[in-house]
Amino acid sequence: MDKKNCHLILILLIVSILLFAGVPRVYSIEATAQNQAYSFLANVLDFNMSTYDKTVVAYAPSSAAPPNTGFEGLPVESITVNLTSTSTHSLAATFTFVNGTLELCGLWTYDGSTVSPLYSQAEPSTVLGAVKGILQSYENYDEAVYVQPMLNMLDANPSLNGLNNATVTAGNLKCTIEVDDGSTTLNFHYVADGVDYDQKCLSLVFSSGILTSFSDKWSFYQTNNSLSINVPEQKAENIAWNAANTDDPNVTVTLTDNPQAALIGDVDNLTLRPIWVIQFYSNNGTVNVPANGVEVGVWADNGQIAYCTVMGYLEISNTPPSSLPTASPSQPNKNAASFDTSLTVGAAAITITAIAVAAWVFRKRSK
Amino acid sequence: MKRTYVTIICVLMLLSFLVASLTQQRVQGMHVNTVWETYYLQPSGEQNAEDAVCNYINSTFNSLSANWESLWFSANQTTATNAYACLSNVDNSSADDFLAWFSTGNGFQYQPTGNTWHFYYYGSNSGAVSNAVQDSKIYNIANGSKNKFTFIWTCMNGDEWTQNGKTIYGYWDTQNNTGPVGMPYAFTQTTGLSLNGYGAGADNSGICYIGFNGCAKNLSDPYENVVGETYATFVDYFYYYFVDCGTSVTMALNYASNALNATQPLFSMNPLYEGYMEYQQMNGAWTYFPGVMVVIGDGNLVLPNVS
Repeated sequence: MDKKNCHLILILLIVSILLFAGVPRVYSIEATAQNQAYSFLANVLDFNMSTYDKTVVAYAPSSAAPPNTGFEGLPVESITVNLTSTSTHSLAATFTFVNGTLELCGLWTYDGSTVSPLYSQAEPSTVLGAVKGILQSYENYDEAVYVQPMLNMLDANPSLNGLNNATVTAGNLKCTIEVDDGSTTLNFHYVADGVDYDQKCLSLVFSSGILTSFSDKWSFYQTNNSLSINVPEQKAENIAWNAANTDDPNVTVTLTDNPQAALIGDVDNLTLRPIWVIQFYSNNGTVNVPANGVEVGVWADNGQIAYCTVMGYLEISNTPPSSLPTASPSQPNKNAASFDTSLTVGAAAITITAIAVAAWVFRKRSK
Repeated sequence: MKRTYVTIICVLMLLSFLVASLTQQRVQGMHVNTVWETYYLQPSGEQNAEDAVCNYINSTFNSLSANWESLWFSANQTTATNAYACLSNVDNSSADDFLAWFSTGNGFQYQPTGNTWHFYYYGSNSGAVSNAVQDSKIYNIANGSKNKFTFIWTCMNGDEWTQNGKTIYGYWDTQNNTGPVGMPYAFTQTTGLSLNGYGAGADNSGICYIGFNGCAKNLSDPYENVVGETYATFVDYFYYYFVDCGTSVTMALNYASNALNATQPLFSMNPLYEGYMEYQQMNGAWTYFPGVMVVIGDGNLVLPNVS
């Protein structure tokens, strides 16, 4: 290798290092989410994406999601993009993906004005027409076979016209429409034996006739058990009462055996299960007793305890107790975010360049 | 030849700074987030919920750009003295231009003079009102109007009431000369914000205050009809969307509501917005108290430099 080529390679190496220093590590993941978002807007919501200038304003990798996401360990990532156009109001679109599958698409504007997207073609004039169009596109786009029964339900029930509040149940599908103050919300969710499983659902929100929220959690939850109710209420209350009085070491108050019971749908390991939720209250609360009751969850299919927890308490007495905890002021946890990364990159670039210069000088002198 | 190499090296140095400036955000104004919690009169379950929520909020702000600094005042550090000092420091710092504030604990009201009710929330070191974070003192310190976003998760520190036929969240007491009344007024420095800043009620003032009118939910309270979830998770989700996803306050409230219960994809369908009755203790007696979350001011507020 001659000297000229050697220098050329050295220069290319330095340029490569400098360029890679500025590339975010999450770029490829962000790009995937970004592509998914734009694809959904174009193919399902029929946005004319070519008319928009698109900017990613925020990206949250799965590590940023709240600890208790409700998806039992599945990765959750989000992205917010700005869509600006010279011919209409700018809007923002926020997407959440669970395990790589769309869970939420929300459309909004920074000043709270009406969302007014630019579509590829003329849109239906009614909310019901828009719902059907979106669901049909979504069914094709995502191969979401569970959408067809929803479309069938809309076709078969004139009361689901998007203009009034309505509720229709057919088989394991329940549709509710809520019209309130300029917004219309449609929700499809799973039902079995009269128990609502709100977790497994698909919902759409329209504001002033324009879709502003699309949320699909249907595919995340399985229904591969029977969902049968094998434990009657009285038996569940007895199980809960015993648990509340014996199992939880935090329960230091006397409970009243006057349970408030509700049978609701729950999720266990991403699978639907019916559960009895039973609450008992304390009948002798005093200042500083750290409980006002206990809540017990009893699986309605097999009678096992799902959880037993002390319910909240908030003392709002205006007579503070005589014995008060004391603490001296100290410094806060300062996990400062004032670290200027641009300076770091700059410093690294200078260092690399300096090394390159030194190497070059050294090489020249050694000859 | 030597001159050529020197030129190339100089160009490379310029290029490196160009890359650095293009890929990183420049520090202009500093934005400060503070998180406060107190164990005072809180059971262990609520203390744990406070810890988890404060930890999450602090960490999510710390994941932001260099423009943000987050401070977590843990249970024994949450005192009125520290709160006032922190507020004063930010207010007096020319580098700081935005203060976000989250505090959780117990709140109540008191009468310093005459029959004027003022509001406060407890610090950790004493139940005495003199050691609590008081509305009038907050007002007197927070005169720099850097409190753009305040979220007080306690009872009564978002109280609204009717005065001369008008619903208000704060006023200046001239009857007993006790000064500014109401925690939203104290933090925001104005009585002119929208009473319902959520959704269409947003006033685009650039200031938003969230609190509770009446009794607050406990963070550890079970979330309505969602087994295994608590209101702490709602707060987590709110900050996830508000900070990590860069949405407005209104949208973060909507998406948090949707995340916990997709049959309530709008915050306006949420029990926090609609109001509820909370079973609580007052002077040893148990009874139901009404409560509702209030969003005052600008629900369109978006945090700066969240990308």
